[in-house]
Formats: sequence, C-alpha cells, structure tokens
Amino acid sequence: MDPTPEHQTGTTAVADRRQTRDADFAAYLAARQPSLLRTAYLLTGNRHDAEDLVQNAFAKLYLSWDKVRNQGSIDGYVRRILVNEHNSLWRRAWKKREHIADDETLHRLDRPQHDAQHDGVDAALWDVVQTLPRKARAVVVLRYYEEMSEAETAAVLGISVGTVKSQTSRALATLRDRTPQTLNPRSREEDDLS
Amino acid sequence: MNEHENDELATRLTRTLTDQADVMAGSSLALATVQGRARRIRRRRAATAVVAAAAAVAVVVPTVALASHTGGRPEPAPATQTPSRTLTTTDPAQPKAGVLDVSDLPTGAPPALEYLRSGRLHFIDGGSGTVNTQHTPVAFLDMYDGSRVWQTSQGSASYIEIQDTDGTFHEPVRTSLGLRTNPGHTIAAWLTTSGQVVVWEAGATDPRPLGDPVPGSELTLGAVSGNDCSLACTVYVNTADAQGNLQPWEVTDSGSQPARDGSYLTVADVASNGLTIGLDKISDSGSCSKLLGGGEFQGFSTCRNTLVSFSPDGRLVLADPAYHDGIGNGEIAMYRTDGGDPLFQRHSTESAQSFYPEARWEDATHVLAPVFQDGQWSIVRIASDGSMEYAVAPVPGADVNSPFVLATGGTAYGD
Repeated sequence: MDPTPEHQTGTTAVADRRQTRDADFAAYLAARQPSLLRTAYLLTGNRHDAEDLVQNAFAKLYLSWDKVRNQGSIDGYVRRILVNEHNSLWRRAWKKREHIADDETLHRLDRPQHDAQHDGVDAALWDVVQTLPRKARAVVVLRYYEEMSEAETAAVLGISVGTVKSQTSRALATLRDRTPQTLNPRSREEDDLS
Repeated sequence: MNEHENDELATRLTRTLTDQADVMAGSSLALATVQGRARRIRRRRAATAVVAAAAAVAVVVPTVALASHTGGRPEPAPATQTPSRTLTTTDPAQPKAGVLDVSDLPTGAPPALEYLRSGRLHFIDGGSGTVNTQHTPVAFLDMYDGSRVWQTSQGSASYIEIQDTDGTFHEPVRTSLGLRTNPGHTIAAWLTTSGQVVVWEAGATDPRPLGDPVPGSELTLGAVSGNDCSLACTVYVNTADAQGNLQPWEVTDSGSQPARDGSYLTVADVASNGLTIGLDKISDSGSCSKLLGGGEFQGFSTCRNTLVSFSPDGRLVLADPAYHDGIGNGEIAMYRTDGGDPLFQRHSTESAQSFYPEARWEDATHVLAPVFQDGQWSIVRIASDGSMEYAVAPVPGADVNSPFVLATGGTAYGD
C-alpha cells in the first residue's frame, strides 16, 4: 500500500531531523577529533589504541548527542568519556601494556647526564610519563597538556581536588627522580659543587 | 622543591607532551566509522540488558547445558537453578543485605594471613617486622615451607627476591609484573619481560625457566597447577595478539602451547583437583566466566560476576564484578564450586561508595579484602554467608594507595 501524504510528511521530517543531527555531529567530529586524538595518544602512548579510544568516545557521544548537545557541555562530556574509558580497569586488564619499562627504556633512563641534550631529555621524560599509573598519567596530561586547572581536572576524572593535587605532586616527583639529572635540581647542585 | 623548579619541570613537560602529541597529526575518523561503532555499542547494551534481566532470574547457567547449545546462536540462558540463597543476615551490626558498606562493622580477629601495612610485614601471631628486601616490596607470597617470595620494585623495574626460611635473601632477579603460586604453595612462578616463565620451588637452590618464552603481548600470569615441577606442573599465561584476541597458554617443562581445553579466553585459577575457572566471553560492557563441568560434576557459567579464585579446599569460588570499571572492585560474591549456587553478593551503592583492589582467601569459608570507603582503608573479613567484620580497623588513607597488601595466593591448600 502506498504511504499516505501524512506518512510521507512524517517520514520526511524524521529523515530531515536525522540528517541535521548527523550534520551537526559530523561538524563537531571534524572540529574536535584532532585535539582528542592527541590527548588520547598521550594517555595511551600508542597510535592504534588512541584511535580506538577516540572512536569509542565519539561513538558514545553520538549515542547521547541530543541530550548532551542540549546541555551545552559537549567538550567536557566527550573528554570525560575519553579519560574514563582509558582509566577503566576493564581496558586496563585486557588492553594495557604492562607499565614496566622494557630493557631499552631502562637503558635510556640510566644514561648519564652528558648524553642528555634537550631532545634526549624530552624523550626520557616521555618514557617516564608512559610508566606512570593510568590515573596519574591522566592527571599529568590534563594538567600539563590540556592545561586544565586542578578543579577542571578533578571534574573530568571524577575525583577530588585534593586527589588531583596529591597525584600531581607524586607524578612530578617521580618524573624528577627518574629523568636525567638536568631536571633534578639536587643533582645539579651537587654537580656545581664538584 | 621550590616553585621555580616545579615551573621548569612543568614547562618542559608541556613542551614534551605537545611534541609527542604531534604523532597523531593526519589521523582522522570518518562519521560512518563512528556510527558503525555506535551501532555495535547499542547492540551490546541491548544484549547486556537482556543478560542482566536473565541473571536476575537465574544467575547460573550450567556449562553442561551450554555445551549442548552450539552453533553460535545466542544462548537462551536456561533457568535450571534459581538464586535460592542469596543469604542475608539478621544481625543488626551487619549492613543491609547485598550492600558492600564497611563504614561500621564489628571488629573480629586479626587476619590469619600475613599482610604488608605501609611496608611493614604483619604476621599471623599479631607481631610485625621490617622487610629487608633490597627494593621496595609490592607483593609477596608465603611458601608452604615458610620461605617467602617477594616482588619488589625500583623505579620502573620489577624484581623477585627470594627469602629462605632462615631469613637470608637470594640476589634479586628482574621480572615483569605478576607473581603466582599453586594451591599448595610449593611453586612460585613469575614472568620475565621477554615472556619467559620462571619457577622457584620451595627448597630449591635457584629459580629456573619453564618451557619456552610465550609469544604475544600483554602477558599476565593466570594460574599454577601441580605440586612439583620436576614431575609435572603447568603455568597458565594469558596473552593477547596484535588484534586483541585473547588466548591463554600453558607452559610446562615440555614447552609452551596455546591452552585449548575449555576454550577459555583467560585462565583465572586452577584448583588442586584440576578444576579451572576463567573468562569465557568478553565485551566492552561485560563478561562471562565459567567453570567447566565434566562427568558427574556440574560446572556453571555466569555473566553476573567474574570468577576469580578457588577457596583453599576448592569448594567455593570468589567472584568480583563482571565489568571491571572505575577505581576498583565495587562488588564481591561467592559461589559453590559444584553447580554454581550463589552464596551471597554485595556491591557498593551511591551511599556506600566502597571498593577493594583485591581479595584473598583466609580459610575455606572466609576472604579478606582491603576495602576503601569514606576516606579510610580497612581489612574486611567476609564469610561465605555474606557477613562482614573488620580484621583490621579502618585507617585514614588516599583512595589510590591502599596501605595494605595481602599475601598473594591467600592461604595454602591443606592449611
């Protein structure tokens, strides 16, 4: 049976709404994915996992698009999905690489100071960032890459500001201890005295 | 550390992260790809809702029944058993049935299992002592003869340090993460960073490699079976390939090969009588675990929980959430090994936001778990009827750092 004009009108309206919705989402996807892919890479340390993480985050955003868009909090929502997905123990259990540095990394970290020019220091710093526990790494990425405040970081991670402060402090101490001596003021002072 | 020094590190960190993130330049996701993923997530959510509804009616599904339904069609989840005994207690000192609320419990006996508290070892007799490992202790297990195997860390490197019964230590050896033992605690096993299983048997002079290095990535130790590796022992290693496909391997003196029996995705534990529990199905929203039946023995499968470990006598199975999410486990449960009758389940709620990182068997009917709630950590004893008490009273602490580490493998079989 042919659809009635009313049916046609209703169907067309639904299709139009869906098309508009998808166009809005596609525009948001195009605008925000480069930034989220970068953040995801810093969280995972792996290109493939980063793409997987972002794809999942956008897919979940897509499913909640109408609700989230109406609340006007899209960026915060998708970032929270991204970080929480990454922090999920489930993914940690099955998709993580052990956060134990391989021999090559350890060798690099053990190099003496005179090998460490700026690039070397940065590479070593990145190696150590990747050995941080997931939540600590998320705090570091949000604070020092996304340049979020402690309160914003706490909101994204769903933890207290106090926890953000303590994790940041511990992460910085770890980074300072494990990176070449150019970042360790105590070592520099000892060198200056010798 | 002054503000200037922190600023310098922060500046360098920002620059490093910004440079590293450039790796992702040029990557892009198409709308159709995201929509496809969204459709799969929606389907999984729908399927999970059905499973959850079925689980409310019948928590367990006999594996014998599962085995008779082949062909890849969705299982109808036959309700051959009902959750007849999600036990509750009428003790007014106990929290509401089903709730993992450890904010106000009666205090019971100290743990009958050694544990570390802030780096100090606490013995079963109530005493404590310093730990003399070369590196920082992160886990340990008590062998049946009184020797101990420590997993320690220094920076980002992990080590195994063996402590003989007279207290002397062997030289530390490098390891990957993970330390396991068999039910009788006669064998300790760990993995090197290259995937080689290493075993040490109580009384042996040195640890030795077992089998060949296991290929794959994301290697984790599953379980150890057998009592004497010079006769026969098997170490199960859980692996993932490049596509994320999970496959347990069995490592013996004869070599290393994929473990095909039971079609497990991962092996969690093997009882002293050889019964095995492990994951059977995994999705982004949940999992199913199974204990394979055989002969007169009726195994079971559940999508309500992840089956974790057998009690020392093998009669009960400890379980945690089917979906591991968040900061730790917000649910704990026990099942009977034979048939999978659920004994109790407790879970955190909005008003009782508790979680625990690990639970260990203290004896045949009790587990111990360090539990965090309301800014405090305690060691909670949970009985097979679901009742709870403090084994160590709450102490203030941060949620991310449990001050307590319980002995790996819990109490030995036969103790």
